[in-house]
Amino acid sequence: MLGVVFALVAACAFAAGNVFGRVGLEYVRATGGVLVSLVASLILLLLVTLVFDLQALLAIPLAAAAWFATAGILNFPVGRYFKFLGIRHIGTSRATAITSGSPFFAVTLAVLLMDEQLTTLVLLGTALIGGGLFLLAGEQT
Amino acid sequence: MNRANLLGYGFALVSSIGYGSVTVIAKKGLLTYGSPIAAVSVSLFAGTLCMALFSLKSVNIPADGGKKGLLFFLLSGLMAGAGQLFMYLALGQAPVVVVTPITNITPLLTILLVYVFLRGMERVTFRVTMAAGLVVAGVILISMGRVGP
Repeated sequence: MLGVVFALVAACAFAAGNVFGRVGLEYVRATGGVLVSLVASLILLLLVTLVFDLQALLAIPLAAAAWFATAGILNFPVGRYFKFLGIRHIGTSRATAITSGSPFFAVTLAVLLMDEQLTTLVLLGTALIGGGLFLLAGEQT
Repeated sequence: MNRANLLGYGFALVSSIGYGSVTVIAKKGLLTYGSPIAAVSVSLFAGTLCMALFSLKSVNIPADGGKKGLLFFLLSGLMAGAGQLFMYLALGQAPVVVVTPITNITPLLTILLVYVFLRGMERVTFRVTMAAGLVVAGVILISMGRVGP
């Protein structure tokens, strides 16, 4: 039950983050705004890591750190920045729905690079994501 | 569809591709070293540094409303960071097949918050809500259906 509650809180926090960012875009450009949001996230996460798991942070091998750093560059300057650019042009609801379809690309890469298998559920899920994106593309704005 | 909208859909798609590739890259790292919270800290540090190098010179804070805008982005960042933390807390208490579908309802919650708080700024249509619902359902099915080596 606690896991479900935490997961719900996480989903609410992510959603609130999208909405706060949308309001922020009324006043500043995405470039500066995203940088401030990243610094805020970083300070919060570093504080928590320092208090609860400092040893894990200090013991990261270089190879793993390189993978995590690459993931970070794809996640934040690419993922978050382009998400807010999308929000600025087509609104929060549409942009968030499209960016949330990212598991489609994750599955494609996982199948190609990590020997993950395509299952019926994955194919069906991909079709539903495609249907949702198709609906969004046809939306009159 | 006009050019601005096309650009917007393009930007959102690039974001989706970026977020999608993170899972695979991060998994490579986690196979070597299994501390998710340390992984997120390193990722966020690298991403922030890259963003700062890329954008610092072009950051322009308008005198009128700039501080207000930055405050909202500060709150946005704190919420995103809190979301990451609670997601890891959730993964510590429940299996991935329970946590992932729940955290993936974010688009529907976003639409709800937009409808309640941003009605003057954005229009939420039935079509957009349906589309988001399909995407969320698809993501949940993918989460349930993934089988790895």
